[in-house]
Amino acid sequence: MLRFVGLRMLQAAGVLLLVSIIAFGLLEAAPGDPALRIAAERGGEIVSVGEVEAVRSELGLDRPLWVRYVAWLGDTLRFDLGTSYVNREPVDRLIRERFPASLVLAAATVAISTVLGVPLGVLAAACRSWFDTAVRTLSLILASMPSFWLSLLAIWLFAAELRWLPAIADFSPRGLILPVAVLALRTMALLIRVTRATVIETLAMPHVMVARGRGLPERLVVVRHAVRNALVPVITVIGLDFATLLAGAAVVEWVFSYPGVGRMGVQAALNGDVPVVLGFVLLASVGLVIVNTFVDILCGLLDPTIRAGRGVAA
Amino acid sequence: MTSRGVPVNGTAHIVLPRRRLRPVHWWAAILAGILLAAAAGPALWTADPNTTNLLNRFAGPSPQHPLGTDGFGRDLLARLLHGARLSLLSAALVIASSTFLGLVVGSLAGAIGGAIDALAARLVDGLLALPALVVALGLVGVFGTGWFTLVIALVATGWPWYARIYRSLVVAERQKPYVVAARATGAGTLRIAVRHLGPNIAGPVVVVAATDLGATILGLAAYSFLGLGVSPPTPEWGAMVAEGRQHFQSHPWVIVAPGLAITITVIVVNLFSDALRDAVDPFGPR
Repeated sequence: MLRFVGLRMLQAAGVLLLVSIIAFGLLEAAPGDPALRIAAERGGEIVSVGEVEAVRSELGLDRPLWVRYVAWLGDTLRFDLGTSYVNREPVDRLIRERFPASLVLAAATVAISTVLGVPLGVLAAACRSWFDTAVRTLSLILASMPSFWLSLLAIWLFAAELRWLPAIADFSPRGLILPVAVLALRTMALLIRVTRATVIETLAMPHVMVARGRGLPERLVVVRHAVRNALVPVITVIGLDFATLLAGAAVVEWVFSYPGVGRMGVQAALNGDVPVVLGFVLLASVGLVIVNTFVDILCGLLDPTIRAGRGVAA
Repeated sequence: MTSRGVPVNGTAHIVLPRRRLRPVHWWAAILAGILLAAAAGPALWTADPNTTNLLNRFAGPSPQHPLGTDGFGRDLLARLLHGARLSLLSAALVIASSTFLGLVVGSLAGAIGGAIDALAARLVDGLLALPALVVALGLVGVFGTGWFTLVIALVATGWPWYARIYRSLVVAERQKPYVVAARATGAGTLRIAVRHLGPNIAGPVVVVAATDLGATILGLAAYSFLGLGVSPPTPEWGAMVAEGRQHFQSHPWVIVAPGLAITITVIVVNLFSDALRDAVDPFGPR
């Protein structure tokens, strides 16, 4: 087990290294000369070549690439992510201010979609009848609707027509209802699909046949023998959902003007605000890597076959 | 793999099994209808999608405008048809490029093996552990918004998924007797790849591409909605929803129509890819 955890941590470190290289590469590749920009900020519209060169050596932009990478990595590890081009605020503060709102949005979404989606998926797999068809159709339609469109329809119905809920979602229980509902419907649809498929696969396994042969009632066969074995992929998907929602709810946050990191990321992308965009990418990637590693270790605890061998390759 | 029995010189009497119409055929036909509408629609319904007429805003259905007009008095049907063309072409471009990149990297890694394969596999796994949509947003944010950047960003974040699948396909396939036999007859690597391996992995390749099509259409629409893709007034489904946002509380139809177009297309695409997978999967439908 310790070996498995160690290997998984090592893998996570490798991915984080890749993340840092990509983020730094994007920073380097970003169009425009940062030295020119900063010199222009200081000295007005017209700047001489000498002034630009002075800024360049002051910022260390004339040093070799790897020296700049190490310096950048040091800053990033100290959460110094630079300042926004638009409002001059430090990126880490922008993220810190918005992160709790996104965390709550993601947590509420995952909680609701798990409570609804997993039982629905299990039931659909266990009773392959009209109920299965209904659940499958529902999840197909929900998964095929663009979330921005569903958000607008929800605003139209519940905010404009019925006037039950606010169209602009602030970080409050009432404001959270609509964005969480839209995101949960979509997450639930995907969760139903995975749960249903895995439980159907497990129900075809020999140990389930043995359980049926022993004369166990179908309810116990499903709950004790099929669902327990289907847990690992389902937990993996839930963890993945949580991590991707943390920043991936950007579109829904945007439509509802919800004060989360996703909306910040979209706004920064529209403005070409490179430091904020990169801060957003770093946050989302690191969050995903951490949650994935945690979920993998959890699955290793639940299922010994994973830590025996498959987990290392996966 | 099996060659279908064809009568030789008209003497052999081979009865082909009667081919039953299966779900995959139905969905393929409906999808073909959507593709045809996107390809030929703008030629048949010749109204200009960008002609504004501020005297005729939010008009209801009429012979001139079967689906009515939007907030600038532009013909909705024409915009939907032109949007279909752009959305589907972009999605096809993203998927074709990702498939190509994934096939090249995946099959090269699988064919070369050894340290290069291990390195490529690590790299692909690492890239897959990143949030693709956020990285795509980052690419667009850094290099500037626009249709071309968006397509590049989606390909750049999409190909590792293809590479992983194709690598495992190639590795599994090259052990098989027919490859060994081809090699024994003296066929070179390129010949084996093109003549033998290619046709045998074509089925899975198409299934993988079809599976990704729905998500790609949704992703493109979402970025265009956010204003990170095409610039107005280009008709694109996601951008049309964004344009209709200002007035949608009084005129919901201008966002309902393009949204429905996306939803219906993605539903058909998803059903088609599911049916296709079932048709290719030897274990039958699940």
